[in-house]
Amino acid sequence: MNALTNEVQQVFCDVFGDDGIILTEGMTADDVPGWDSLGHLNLIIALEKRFGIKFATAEISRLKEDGQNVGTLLELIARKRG
Amino acid sequence: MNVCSIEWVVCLLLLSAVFFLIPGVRERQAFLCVCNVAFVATMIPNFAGWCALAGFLGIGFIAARVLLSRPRKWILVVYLVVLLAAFIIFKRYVFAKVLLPAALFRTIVATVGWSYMLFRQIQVVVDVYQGQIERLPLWNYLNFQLNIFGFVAGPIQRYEEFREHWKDLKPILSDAESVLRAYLRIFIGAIKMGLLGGFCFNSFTTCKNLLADPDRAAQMTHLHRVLLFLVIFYTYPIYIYLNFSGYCDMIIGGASLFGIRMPENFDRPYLSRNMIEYWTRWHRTLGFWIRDYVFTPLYKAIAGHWPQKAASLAFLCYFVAFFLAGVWHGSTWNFIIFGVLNGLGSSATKLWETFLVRKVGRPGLRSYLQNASVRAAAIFITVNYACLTIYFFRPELGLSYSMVKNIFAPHL
Amino acid sequence: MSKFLEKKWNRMPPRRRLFLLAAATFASAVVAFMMLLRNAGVREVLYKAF
Repeated sequence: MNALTNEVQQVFCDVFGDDGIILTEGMTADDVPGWDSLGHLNLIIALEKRFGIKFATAEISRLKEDGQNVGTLLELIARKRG
Repeated sequence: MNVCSIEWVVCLLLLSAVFFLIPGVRERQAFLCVCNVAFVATMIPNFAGWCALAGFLGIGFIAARVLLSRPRKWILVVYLVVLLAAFIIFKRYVFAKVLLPAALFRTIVATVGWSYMLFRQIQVVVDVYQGQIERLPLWNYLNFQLNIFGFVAGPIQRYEEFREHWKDLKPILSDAESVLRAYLRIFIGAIKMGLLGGFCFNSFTTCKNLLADPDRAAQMTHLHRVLLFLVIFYTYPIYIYLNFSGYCDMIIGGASLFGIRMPENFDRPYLSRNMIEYWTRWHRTLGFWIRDYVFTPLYKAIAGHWPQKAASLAFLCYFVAFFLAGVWHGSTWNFIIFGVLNGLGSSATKLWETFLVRKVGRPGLRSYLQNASVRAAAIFITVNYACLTIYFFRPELGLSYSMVKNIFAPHL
Repeated sequence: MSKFLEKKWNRMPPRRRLFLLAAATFASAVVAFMMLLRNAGVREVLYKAF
């Protein structure tokens, strides 16, 4: 578990109000209670704030498609941080 | 050209066979482009229409190219405001007619497909501004906007998805089974649209004519009138569903014969358990578009400025987003009601969920969602509520009112 | 119900699947074309043909 994953996990815990969340690459929205459309946006907003990055509308939308998971989210954040 | 017509189906079958035999991407693109233009030509009745179309696409393309080289927020905002204002005036929205001079509304341009082009246009400029689209050749842009398989009534495809297929245009159906499935889908779509949808529409019309006529309504028993109303209440939505999903079947099946995969627009909407889920099952591409280009930016802006109030303002976002989805369908007063009902339905859904979470917590919500009888009840309520919203899908509000009034007091 | 049918469909031998699909496509094509022709006002053509 690298530093980025730890930080993102902390954001997840804050947004979904559950300190017991442990992130794995294959996790999806179904695995986290409260991760619906609104929860997704709250998560995005919190991640933008925490890492000083900006997600485009199309990127936010693509994250909800089939085949996308926490792993792809982490990759996207890593890429945006540079 | 009507999609559910012998001309369209015959042309589709013949031209897709030709498409299959053309060698080379550029040649296939050119062929499809000719088909796109020819089809659009059948929909544009006069010179004014062509001017309007050229103006809309030309300005849209220029705006997108300007944003590509200079992604400034003010350019995007100004363009979107002008675009939406022009759209509202052009479509002669009734509430706008109340506020603005009548002279602005005198146009003679037919309005087929504009609502869909508007959404494709907004998607392109927003994505260009946000750096999601790096190149926008005119050739791609024009064929994206004038794509036969989306021009009349969608599905609303995103530019990036279109480009994926367009840049390497070739037959995508690889075996006999998928080809047969495509043909089967086209024919089933035609049957849904023409035969089954037609049957529902005729039943609806017969009952409507009976119940709307106060003299004939007075001659019937009260029970008879109630039954007539129920037939009207349910057959009109069924007709809309068969008509629209049949159209989508023909379009999606047809597009796959031309190397383009269009997004699905329906996913068993009669199984929706609430009005938010309904818009991910009925006219899905619209639901997702509204989620991405209305709800998301609206909620982000609100949560950014008032983070403490974000949770309660979310309901307002749901209302506004689904209200706009409703009002986009048409410019008359009944669509305002349709929009309000949709807005109320979705914010009520969110309110109910929030209430449940507060009462039984997330684990309780989970078991609530998995309960079969709860699900059945939710589906029953949602389907009926959806039928209620569709009751206001017809522009004749007076008629909608008369039919209800005539159940109880035909001669009032 | 549909999951049951889907399982049955997936277990079917490919030739049988193809045959059923072709038959269904042909049948729906006939119905669709007759309907489309009738809508185009070609009733007389149909009466003469049958």
